[in-house]
Amino acid sequence: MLNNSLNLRTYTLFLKIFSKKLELFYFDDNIILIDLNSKNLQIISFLLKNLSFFKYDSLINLFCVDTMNINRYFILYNLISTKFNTRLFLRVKVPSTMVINSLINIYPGVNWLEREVWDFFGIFFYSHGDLRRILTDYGFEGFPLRKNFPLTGFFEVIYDTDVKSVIYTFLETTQELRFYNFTTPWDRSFFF
Amino acid sequence: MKMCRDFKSFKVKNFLLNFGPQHPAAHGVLRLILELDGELVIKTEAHIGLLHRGTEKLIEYKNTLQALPYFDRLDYVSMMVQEYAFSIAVENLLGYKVNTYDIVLRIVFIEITRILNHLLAITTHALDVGAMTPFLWAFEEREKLMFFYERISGARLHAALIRPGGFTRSVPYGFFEELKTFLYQFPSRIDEIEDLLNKNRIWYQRLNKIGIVNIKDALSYGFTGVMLRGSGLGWDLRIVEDVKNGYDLFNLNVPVGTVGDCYDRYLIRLYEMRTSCLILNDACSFFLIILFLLLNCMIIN
Repeated sequence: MLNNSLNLRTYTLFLKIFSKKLELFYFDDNIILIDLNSKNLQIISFLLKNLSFFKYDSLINLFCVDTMNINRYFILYNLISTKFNTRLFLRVKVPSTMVINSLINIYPGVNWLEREVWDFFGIFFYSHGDLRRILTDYGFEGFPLRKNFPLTGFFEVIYDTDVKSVIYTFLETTQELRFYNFTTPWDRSFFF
Repeated sequence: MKMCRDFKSFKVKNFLLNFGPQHPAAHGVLRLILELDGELVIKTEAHIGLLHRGTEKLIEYKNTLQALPYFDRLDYVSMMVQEYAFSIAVENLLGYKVNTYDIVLRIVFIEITRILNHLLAITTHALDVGAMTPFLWAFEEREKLMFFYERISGARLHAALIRPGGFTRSVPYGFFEELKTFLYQFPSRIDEIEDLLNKNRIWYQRLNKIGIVNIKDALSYGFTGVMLRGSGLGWDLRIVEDVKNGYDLFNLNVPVGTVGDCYDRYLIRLYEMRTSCLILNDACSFFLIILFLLLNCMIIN
């Protein structure tokens, strides 16, 4: 049971230990969210995994958010402590160099997740060791989950009967991408 | 042929094998590049293929309710669970609390989905190992279970039923009675599958002490669910977050493995199906009592 008292306990412990390294700390019944500087990421996640009163022994998920602001990319790490039954989000702002430290030495399960973020957002994980594309095609260019990448993409794959093989061509859509931003008929300001 | 007895002049190299993109043993399109030393796989490199369907990208152009049907396409053997996860996320963000009726009804469908999922997992595994019959039997049961999906939503697989805030449709007439009749006969089908597999020598030899994962590895590689429980940690979100899920209304036991091999996981899956049956039975009784009370109140009034 994730309850408030457990989160409160984690909260007080955090403030005691990492007070100088944290930028923001938020907690409620459901989540604990911590903002970190990317410089402190490795040391703090190492301590979170190994200190006996945290024991965040499992990194369940890692994902990137493109916010389209000046601080554009954030990476969120979702840690679980199976011993104390708390769930923690570490939020790390990606610096403008687009390089961030890899956590592969601490949580080896992060391997493919970091490859996925590299594939879709183009964020380089330093000291990862095996950072290749994972989900897109061989020889794909661009980072498709960035907000400035179009939904339809740039290329399409077709079978060419002359060459007798599958080739890439520039995308031709018969219809432009449409946005359905209609006002709802139930909204009164639509009529009056 | 001239025999060469000077073995030292040979340089022994490992053998690279391309376990190609299309192979009947790999469900779906999976390319493995295996490095073999004799028959032993030393190293493997996985090319998982174009699995990403751009769900996030598509949802960028849609609102919350339009995004819902994408989620049961993410995992087409546990459709409702994915919808449930999305709905819960949205409800948490909005700070919305679902009423108890809907919580229990969600549990009914999640447990149905769990049975669907475990039936597929066990029997396709058996198919790969070499047993064909459990697969056929289990898919008959899956068909019956998907009939319940069809009754309430009109779709066998992609139901789009659990939506943020509750349900898309209400339960049709006679649903819980039919579920009860299904549950009455289903445990004996599990028994039949167990009869075929549990003490089958081939099945036992190919699963016992195969794929042992110790608990430290399981945690640091981020295992969840049956994989984690097979390694010996009783971590089940139904128990761990039971107040949020509504599972505190039900009795359930969590089976835990001792060795951490494939056979343990198989046994856990079987046990979990039985637990799901019990939960479903309880939930059916709950709803039948509610309906009975409602009817009586209407008559009295």
